[in-house]
This record gives sequence, C-alpha cells and structure tokens, in this order.
Amino acid sequence: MRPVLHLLLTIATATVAGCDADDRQPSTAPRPVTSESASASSTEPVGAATVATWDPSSSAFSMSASGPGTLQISAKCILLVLDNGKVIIPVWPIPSSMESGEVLTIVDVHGNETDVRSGDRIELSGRTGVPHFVTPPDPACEAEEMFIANGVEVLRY
Amino acid sequence: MDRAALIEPSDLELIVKTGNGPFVQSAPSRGGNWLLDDGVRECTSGFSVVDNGGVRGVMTAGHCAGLNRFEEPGVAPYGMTFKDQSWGEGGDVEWHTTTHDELAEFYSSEFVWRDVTGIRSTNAMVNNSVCRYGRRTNVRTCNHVVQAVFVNVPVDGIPVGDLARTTNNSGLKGDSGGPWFFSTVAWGVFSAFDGDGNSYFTTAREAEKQVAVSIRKK
Repeated sequence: MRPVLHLLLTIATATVAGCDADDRQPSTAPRPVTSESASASSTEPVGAATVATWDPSSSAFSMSASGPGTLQISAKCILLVLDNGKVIIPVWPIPSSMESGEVLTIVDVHGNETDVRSGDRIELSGRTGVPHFVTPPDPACEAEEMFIANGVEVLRY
Repeated sequence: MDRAALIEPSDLELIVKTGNGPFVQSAPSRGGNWLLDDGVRECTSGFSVVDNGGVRGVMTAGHCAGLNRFEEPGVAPYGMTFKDQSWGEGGDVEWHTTTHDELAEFYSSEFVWRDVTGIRSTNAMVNNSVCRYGRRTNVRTCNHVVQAVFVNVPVDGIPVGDLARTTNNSGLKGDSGGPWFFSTVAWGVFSAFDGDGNSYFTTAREAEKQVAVSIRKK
C-alpha cells in the first residue's frame, strides 16, 4: 500500500511544475494521491460532488485498465473503490458532469454518454496519473491514486 | 477389467528427494500475458527481453503503473520487479524481471504462442500491415497498416515520442503493452489510440534503446 498524501500537495506540485506537469516516475515509486474517506456509504445523502475533469482534446489515450470497482459518490467526492481495496479518484474527460446530486454523466473520449450512480460497479480505461486538470477534485477527497479516465464500462457482476 | 484395478499399492514405490537447490518453476513468462497491479489486471506483456548483464525480463508499456505480478495461464500469478522505464519523448516502454524464466515467445492469440525470430526495423514499417494481441480483447487483429514512424503525440496530455501510428484501433482497456508483430517478428508494444481511430505503438528498436535491453529471439 502506498503512502497517502494530501490533494493540496498534489495540486501544488502539478501547478509548480507548470505546463509540463505530469507523473513521469518509476512504476514502483509512491505516486501522488489524495483522499476523502472511502468509508462513506453509498446510501448516504449526496450533494454536489466535484467532478474532477481533464481535457482530452488533441490527445491520444492510454489503454491500461483501472480494475473493477464500486463507485462511491458522496457530498464532495467521487471515488472508485477497487475490488482489491485500493481507493482511486477518477479524473473524467470533459464535459462529464453531475446534473443532479445522484447521477454522474460520463462522456468518454468518443463522445459516448454513460450515466452512473453511487454503488454502480464500473471499470475504467486510461492510466494512473495526475493530468492537467480542468477541474481538480475537492481537496477534502482522499485516495491512494488518481486515474486519468478516457472510457468507462458498467459491469454486470 | 479396469487396468487400474491390476495395480496394487505394494506395486508402487515413492521416493522423496530433498535438497537445498532452487525450486524449478515449470511455467515460463511470455509476451501477451496479463500483468497485475496489486491483483488488478492492468496491462499486457509485450516481449521477453535481456539486458547487457544477461538479466532477463518482460517488456510492456511505460504508462502501466505499479505492476507487481505476472499471470501466465494455468498457474497462480507470480512476482515481477520493476527495472526501468521510458515514458515521454523517448517512447512508452518499461521492463520488469519475473520470478520465472522469460522465454523468447509471445501469445499471438488466447492459447497459441509463437517464437520471436526477428525484430522489425523501424524504418521498414511504413505502409506495411501489422498484427497485435492484447489480453483484454483476447484476439489477434491484423487490420492495421503503419502510417508513420517516429511520431510524437500527446498521450493523456503528455508528449510521447518514438511511436508508430497505424490505421484502426482494435484495443480495449488492459491491452496496453501487448505485442505488435507480423508472423514471428516483433514490431513493438501497444501504447495508445486516438479519436481518429488510429493506434500507436512504441517500435521494438526504439523500445530496446530507451531501456537498454534486447528483445529475446530464438
């Protein structure tokens, strides 16, 4: 299990690095991480959770898998709790958004829309890392890693 | 009469030998297998490699993060250790050692593996057809033609160079790092796709240079 750092540190690091901010580092190195407790129940009332986003225009996209997990949407955070217990913050392609406090509309890099809710089981395509944010996650959110998502699959199991 | 019934327990002799030598693993590592991060199937292995010191391992995509287990069909996932990577202008490649022997072979489809007998020169790729295999799609696809080499393109916003761009995107999540090949010749390892329906792979020769290894051949 990798060390848990605070989101503010992550964002500050990316900002200081300016336009060249990225996460180039050995796979075994501790990676920037954030976090709000993942213990929030999927049934608790939800507010306007911040949808962390990045801009996929003029880019190609990685093809690694996040692994399957359960989406948890709380008042501030949108987290994916993987089946192995790891908690990640998905960073979605714009213009993914939450129109209500319950439904997250993910727009993948092909323009396909998928509506998901807290408790849904999903798996993401993309890669682990910290992108150039359009909207960063709420600083109160905690997780072990961020995942730059370019697509989503809703799982039936 | 059943032949098994003709064998009496007294006919069998069991000899147990003990020793201090290494435990010999029978399942070798190959390209085209699942690579795991804390139990999660994240990427696909590309080809077996060896460094200047004779250390063997497997190559995959450099953007695959935290890989620590290798999954060869039929055996429990076993350990792998990160060695080196290039993720950026020099391409998208990394390599790991595994706790099993790494053979000069790769899966070209779910159950079939091939020997690696050659490495395709980067400059001899354009306008030629190439195939790929990834564990997630789990089929070999050959509807790709290389359009350009030494391509630099942003991947997830990060400039990545030394890529070959091909027609068609047949990949799914988890295919990253998987082998690109034609017949038994290694061409590269899977990197990315774009919104125009193209695929990108780090060419074999540039991948070798970036992490100072050689793809193993028979």
